[in-house]
Amino acid sequence: MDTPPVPSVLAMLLCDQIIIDAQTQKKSLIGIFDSFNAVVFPASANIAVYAKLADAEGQYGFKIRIVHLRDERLIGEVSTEGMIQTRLEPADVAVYFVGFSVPEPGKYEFQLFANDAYLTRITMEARQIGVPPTWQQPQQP
Amino acid sequence: MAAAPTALIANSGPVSPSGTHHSSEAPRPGVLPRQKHNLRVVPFRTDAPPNSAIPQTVLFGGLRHPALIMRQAMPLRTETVETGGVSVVWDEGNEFGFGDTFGAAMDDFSRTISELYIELAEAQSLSQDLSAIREKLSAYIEVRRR
Repeated sequence: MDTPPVPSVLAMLLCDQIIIDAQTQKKSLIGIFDSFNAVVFPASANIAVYAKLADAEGQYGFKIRIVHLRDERLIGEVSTEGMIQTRLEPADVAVYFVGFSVPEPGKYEFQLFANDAYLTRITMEARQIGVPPTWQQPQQP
Repeated sequence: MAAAPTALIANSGPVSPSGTHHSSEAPRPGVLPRQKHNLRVVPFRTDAPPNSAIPQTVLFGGLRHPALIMRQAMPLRTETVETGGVSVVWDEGNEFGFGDTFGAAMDDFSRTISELYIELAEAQSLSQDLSAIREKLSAYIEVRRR
């Protein structure tokens, strides 16, 4: 059997949630972001990764690697398999990271691989923010 | 205690077809199904000891050019530069990409290789060496058919 073609990536995005309409398969990406704010680290995050692929057909082993860019350290990796029926239509890939621990502020990268071939990456900046000022009731006149 | 991190995909797999627009959206008849959790857990490795995310060798499939597609992934070798940065090297064609990080080096390689392919494809006459590189590149890259 021929090796499946190398997919072209049309888009890769991080968001809070991906809602898939059961009837039309349309995806709604909710809360697209590229930076993550937390008061304390390590911070727990729920991150959905969405990618739109073209030119792909066949069985693929997908891998998403999460890399801390400060020292190019691998901090997480997920592998899963998926079948793309026809290269005549684009396909969507969605993976959800639940309770993912962001160890410290800095830049992180989500790298997408298909059949061990590097396809693309998207970066996320984790920022430490101060505690918001306590809300105080206005003084009565 | 915090729950262990997990990765989830849809029960049908990570891939789904693109959405379809119905030009005449008919009202959906009947009662809607009950809400259900239609996801399954896939292995998410976070327990491995911290290690470098720069592989010694990697297959390149990240060509970003609207007119070009890849026939097959290109085998690359990586080098960490002592003064900082990463190189990815295509030994067969003696080309490389460089960047502050592995991802940046791959982006640079993508640009370099796209420009080289187009330059060689448009050239009227080439030396023997450049002809050989064009032939090697053609094994990995081709023009997208419209």
